[in-house]
Amino acid sequence: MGIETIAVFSESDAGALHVRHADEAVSLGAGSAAETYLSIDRLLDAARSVGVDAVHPGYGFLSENADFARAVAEAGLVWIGPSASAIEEMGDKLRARTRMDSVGVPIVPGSSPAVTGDAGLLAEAARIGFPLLVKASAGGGGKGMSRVNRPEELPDALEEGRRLAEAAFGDGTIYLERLLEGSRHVEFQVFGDSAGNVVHLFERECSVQRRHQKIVEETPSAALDPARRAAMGAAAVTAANAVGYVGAGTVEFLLDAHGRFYFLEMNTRLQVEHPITEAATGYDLVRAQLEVAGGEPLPAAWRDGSVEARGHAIELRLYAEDPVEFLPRSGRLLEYREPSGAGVRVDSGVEKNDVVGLEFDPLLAKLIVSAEDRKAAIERARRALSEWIVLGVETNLPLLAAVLDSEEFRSGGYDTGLVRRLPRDAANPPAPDAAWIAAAMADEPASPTRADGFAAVDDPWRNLAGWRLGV
Amino acid sequence: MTAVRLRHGAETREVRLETDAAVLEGRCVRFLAHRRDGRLERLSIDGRTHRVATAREGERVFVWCDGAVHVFDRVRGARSSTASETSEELVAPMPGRVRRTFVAEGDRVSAGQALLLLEAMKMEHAIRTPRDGVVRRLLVKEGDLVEAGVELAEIAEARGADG
Repeated sequence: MGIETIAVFSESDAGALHVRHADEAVSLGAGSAAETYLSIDRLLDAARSVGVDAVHPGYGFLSENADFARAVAEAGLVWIGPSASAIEEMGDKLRARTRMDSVGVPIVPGSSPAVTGDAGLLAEAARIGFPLLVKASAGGGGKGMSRVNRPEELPDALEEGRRLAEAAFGDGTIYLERLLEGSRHVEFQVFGDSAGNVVHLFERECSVQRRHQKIVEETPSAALDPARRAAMGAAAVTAANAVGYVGAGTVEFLLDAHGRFYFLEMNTRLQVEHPITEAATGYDLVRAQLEVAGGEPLPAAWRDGSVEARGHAIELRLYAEDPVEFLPRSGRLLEYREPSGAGVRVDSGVEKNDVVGLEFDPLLAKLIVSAEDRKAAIERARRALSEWIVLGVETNLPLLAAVLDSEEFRSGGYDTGLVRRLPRDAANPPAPDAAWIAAAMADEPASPTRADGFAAVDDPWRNLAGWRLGV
Repeated sequence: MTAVRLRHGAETREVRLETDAAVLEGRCVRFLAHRRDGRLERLSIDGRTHRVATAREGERVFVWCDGAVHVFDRVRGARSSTASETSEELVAPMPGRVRRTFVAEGDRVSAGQALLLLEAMKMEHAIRTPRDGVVRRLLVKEGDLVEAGVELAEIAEARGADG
């Protein structure tokens, strides 16, 4: 597109992959994420210092921050994303539920937004039924929610929910939602332009989760027939239209065991798992974001509904975490070799000898495979996993392999309980003799060749906060 | 000839290496090692060739073998435990930042109560006391970065009215 890319980085990321890939990189100075990647002032200073035309917020950090969107616009720069008001309206989960309800998009049965006190919520709980979820209105993305099984547990759960919400988000507002067991998590990619066109680019099945966070996504979803896909797609477009949505966004739904679907939340940014939509449709979503931000309409094929999804695509997320308890791990990547081949793409933020630290998300890389059908895509993904050599930091690779090997995943008939139902030792298989012998032979490495310590443990996109639109 | 004790999950084995054989807990396994540039690349056992890659840092050994990763710990001596019978140490189950502390030293706590909130990006983890007692020591403060395994607090059994 002939657009120069300016990356920003915190001093601890000076040697990171995204910094070396950008045309230019600007330092945000030293300090924690709050003092660098989350500092609106520092980001705007950086943008002004190199005279950028537009700001791409990536995902994570400030990508769903309405104040940042507003500040960028007020600084006379183009914000590559939806309006601050759309971000606000969807970011407040209670407000979003009310709005969706008002335009006829089904929402998960839950407490009335007018009820926030203990007595009222206890009464609402009796109406909603157990088990239910206590959710933080300022939460979302799987953060700030807890399960309550019985009425007698509710008073304590409300108190703790408020306290944790206040601590984590600075807003103690909570609400209740029915817990739909055995449901799937299916989301729709939506896109709007400034002329008021809003379309969807099909679904992503995101039910393979641990700790309420996705680890495997695929498209198409085995749970949707054409009629249900059309109904959910239409609801997603209605949701986006309701807030005047411009740019790339995702409408998340729960699909229950009876085939009913409910609005869960809307993510007002590009998502981590967007590459599978790119693989299935053949369109570059980031390019479309830039075009829309530049005032252009959506591609004609999107507007006239002639986009088709072809074949099957799967994304697997490589996390630095133990594969059984899912707790983050740190360390140095002593060995790192990526899989390759036809239909195999790895989006990675790390290299051999990088240090995986504590400051950022433990997402190391994403593997995206595509093939002519689901079975072939699973086989291709499984082969690619077995070629991925990551040593020095524990990762969830064994868990990803166990998911792909499970009968439940292969059948396509799975829900968000899949990971919980895997045999406990599935992600921790016994070691063959060869592994024991190799372990006994392993020597300690010479001291690391790089002494610069922390490298970015991050997807390059997350940190790409500055773009310069072409002249 | 070298011998090393290795732990993999719940299993600990002694592996004794000889020139072309290994003794695994007394069982002899003959092997042929193939190296390239000094790096172990393949192991042939009983006519089958296994692809391997290894990396070691301190006592931790990572082995990639035929497409799967196995993590081993070299074991020496007995594990020591410092927790006494009347108090319980709570350690960080993951590296992260102490986002919030909810108690102070001397506070009475009841089993299941959240003591502090540990956070790594996109994940919050409440550290709870497994039993009733008194916070004898609180070893971290809000904003601290901690590694996995670091002691966070010590909960003592409550004795008498003033703990």
